[in-house]
Amino acid sequence: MRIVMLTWIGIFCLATWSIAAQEPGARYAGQLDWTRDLIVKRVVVPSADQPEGEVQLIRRGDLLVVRTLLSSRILKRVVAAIDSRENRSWPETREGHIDSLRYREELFRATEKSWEAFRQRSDRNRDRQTLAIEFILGPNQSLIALSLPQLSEKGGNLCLIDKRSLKVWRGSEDYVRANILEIIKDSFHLDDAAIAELLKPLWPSHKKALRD
Amino acid sequence: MSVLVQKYLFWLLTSGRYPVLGCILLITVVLALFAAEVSVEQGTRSMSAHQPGQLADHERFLDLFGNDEDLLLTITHPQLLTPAVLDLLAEVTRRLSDLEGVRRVFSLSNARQLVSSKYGAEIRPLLPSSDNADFARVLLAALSANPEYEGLLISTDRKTAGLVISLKDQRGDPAQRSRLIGEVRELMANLGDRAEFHLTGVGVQQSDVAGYIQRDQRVILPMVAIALMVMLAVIFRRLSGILLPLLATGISLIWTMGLYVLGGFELNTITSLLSPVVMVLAISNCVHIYNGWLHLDGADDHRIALLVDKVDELFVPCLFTALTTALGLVSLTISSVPAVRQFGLFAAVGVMISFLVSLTLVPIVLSYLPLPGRRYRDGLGLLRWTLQAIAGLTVRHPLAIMLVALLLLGMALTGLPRLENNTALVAFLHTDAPLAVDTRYIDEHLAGVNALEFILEKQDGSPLAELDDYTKLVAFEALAQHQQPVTSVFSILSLLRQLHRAESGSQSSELPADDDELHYELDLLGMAEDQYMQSRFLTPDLQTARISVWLHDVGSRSAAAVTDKLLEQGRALFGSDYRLTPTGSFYQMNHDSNRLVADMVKSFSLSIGLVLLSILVLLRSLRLTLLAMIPNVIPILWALGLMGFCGIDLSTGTAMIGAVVFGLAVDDTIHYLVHYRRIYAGVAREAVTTTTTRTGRALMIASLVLAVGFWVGCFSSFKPTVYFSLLVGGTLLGALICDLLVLPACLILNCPSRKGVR
Repeated sequence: MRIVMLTWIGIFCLATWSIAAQEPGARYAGQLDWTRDLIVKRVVVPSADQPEGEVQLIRRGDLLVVRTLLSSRILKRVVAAIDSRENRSWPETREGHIDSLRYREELFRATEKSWEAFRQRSDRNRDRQTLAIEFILGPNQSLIALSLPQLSEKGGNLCLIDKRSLKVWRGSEDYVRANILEIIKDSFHLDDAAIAELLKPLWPSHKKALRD
Repeated sequence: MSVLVQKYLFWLLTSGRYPVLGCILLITVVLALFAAEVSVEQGTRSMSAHQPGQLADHERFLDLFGNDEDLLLTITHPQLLTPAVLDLLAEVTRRLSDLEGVRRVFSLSNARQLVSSKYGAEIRPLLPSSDNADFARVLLAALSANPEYEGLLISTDRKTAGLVISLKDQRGDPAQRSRLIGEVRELMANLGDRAEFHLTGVGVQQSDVAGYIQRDQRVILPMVAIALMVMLAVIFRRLSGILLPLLATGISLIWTMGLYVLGGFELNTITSLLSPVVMVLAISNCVHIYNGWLHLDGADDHRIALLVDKVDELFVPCLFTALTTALGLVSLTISSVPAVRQFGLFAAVGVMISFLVSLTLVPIVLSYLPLPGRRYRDGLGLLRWTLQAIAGLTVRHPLAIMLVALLLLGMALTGLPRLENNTALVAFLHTDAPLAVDTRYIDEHLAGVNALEFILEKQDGSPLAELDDYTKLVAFEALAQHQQPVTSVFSILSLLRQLHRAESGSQSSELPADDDELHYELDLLGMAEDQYMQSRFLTPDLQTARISVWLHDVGSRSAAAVTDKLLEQGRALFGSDYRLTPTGSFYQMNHDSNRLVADMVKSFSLSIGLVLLSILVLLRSLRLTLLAMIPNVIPILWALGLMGFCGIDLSTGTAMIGAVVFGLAVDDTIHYLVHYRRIYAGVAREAVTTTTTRTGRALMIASLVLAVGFWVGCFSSFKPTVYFSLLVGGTLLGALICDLLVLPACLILNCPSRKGVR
């Protein structure tokens, strides 16, 4: 009996180790597969004069993705602004506050990793740090993904060449949906009606999102 | 020539009288209209040598970093760091910021500190909120954590707060600065019962100097007129003896100042001397002609002919004395300082105008007057007795006189090495002048009042974006900090250190560790909403950095020594890839001052050369020309030696003494030698006795009038003017003594036999 117990423990440890050893996001490889992306709308943020990144509205299979590609010489400051906005939007009294706290914490860690990666870059001419934030929403799917992207610039737009996943986790659907709408609203400067019109073909359940 | 002069004088004193008087009147009225418009320069433009490279550097500095003439205001209160007094500081800061022409006011009330947060540096006010229960402790902690504000915004004893008032770039409107300073002082006066206020800065210095010049013009000029009037009354004891020289002097002054204004010039620290100096110099020829007229002996019917003869006799010596004085002054035009050049040129013009007026107006007016009686011819008994005693002394003891003169000369020469070249604008003022008091106070309590500015850039024009650039800057800063009069060094480093400390969460002030950190922090600086602080020390393209080295209120000598040292060591430190350029208003003033000695030596040499040449032309005797040197060089060396012993520095004002005095002092020598040569009949002792007793009276009168006229300048607001006036007057009396004692002794010792001079 003891041998059986030890064998099961061994199997459990091996399984846990093999899962932990996977690259973050391996569990969500399908949802994170950016090669299927169809960019519906994109905008340089905060402005074309002072570009620090780009917000992209993406159709990924049956998923709706809002991706923020950050490419900035002062990434920490840009992330600090996101953190500050997040803090304002999700006070303790609002449902989703816990999700927001996790998001802010992961964002901070990702920024640190981005800085480390920047310092160890092989191309010393590259002067911008990068970070990709994705809010992914689909039927029974609500994910938040942070990654280190490789970017190129083409015609004033950022193009994703590759990315290394840093962290992926499941957030509450309400939280992810609300953040998607807020990012679209802020970045594309759209009102509710225009957002509804934009999301109509992308996500059949948009009415629910808007109602919320 | 004499025939021509006689014909001219005869025409002048007969049919030419009314046309010439009419012309003089017309010219005087026209030029008086211009002279009345004379204005005072509001800056120190004319006090700076016009060196294109240096000016271009300064212009570029102003273009890149704005006005470098910050005003410094201090508020002192025993309980400075209490909410109530800090509220006053905030109020003053706000009210000063609202004044027109102010770019920004920087004080404790609006100073910021960078504190560490999750995402790096966060900007917070330096002062805690006044309702903070732990206000005092939090404030002291903030001050300790930001030591870069000490010396600039707060004194070490925490009782004096500094306010740095940055001005808008108003290169085209210096009067605006004076208006602004007036408003600041009004504010200080209104709040004077709540705290102690002091104000200084290069801008205040320049503005106040302009005010003092105006004050001197109002006070000194009438005083010179009164002094001359009193001297003329004592000497001549005749109404015409007072009014006529004063009239000629007044006309000469109006013409000179009218031409000065027509030339487009404004009065500055140096040319403010022009009016009193021209007045004094103009009196000399009048005194000689009037004194000559007093000695006319004959029937009144022949007064025109007698006057023509007398003026003819005086024409050549008067022409040459005017010429030598003018040449002495003209020698100043080789100076690199425009103000000195303007003074030399227009004082020379004034002297020649006074010669013209004295040789026309004075004889014309005298031609209307009856000849004076015998009482005036004989002159004052005491004066006559003195001159006879002097003549007797020179004849009996020429060698002893020479030995005493040489002994005094030897003593004076030992003082020469003590002479030092030093210009300090505040030190020019009397010690109790408000600006001097304020400047000393601020200098003692904060980090000095003067800043040497350096521009640092790379030779290839690339940005200062490598850590190595800033490491070298740190080394230069340390180098500067160790120089004696340096109090603080301000550069982009203090901001960068603050930022790095907050970004890294470290407690110590260090530079970023590598290029990535540096670039990130430079980017943060470049993207900050408020660019005021960084724009003062680093251009947005990072190509040019400014380093402000603050000094105590020292003169140009110490400042120039520090500049040279920093420049030499700095260039060695930065290497050939960098360009380190000193600039700024304070640097320019020091640099110009250092050229003074070289300028003075050149002017003095030129003055001696020109004056000697004109004496040689007049006397046509090399021996007499060389003898003429002795009684004039000796008193100048006495004066310079005295300056050395008394610790009077060579400055923009006092450096002119040699060139001015030589041309002036030689006048008496010319009158003496011309008379001596005329009466010399082979026996020097006889000729000396006669010359001393006959010309001595005019020489004494002229020298006394000149000396007293110059001494009135002692009431000036500027110490260099006081020293200049005192020393020129004294040197003229020294020259008179030498002319009446040393020159005759030389003539006797050099001409003992019956050899003719002609």
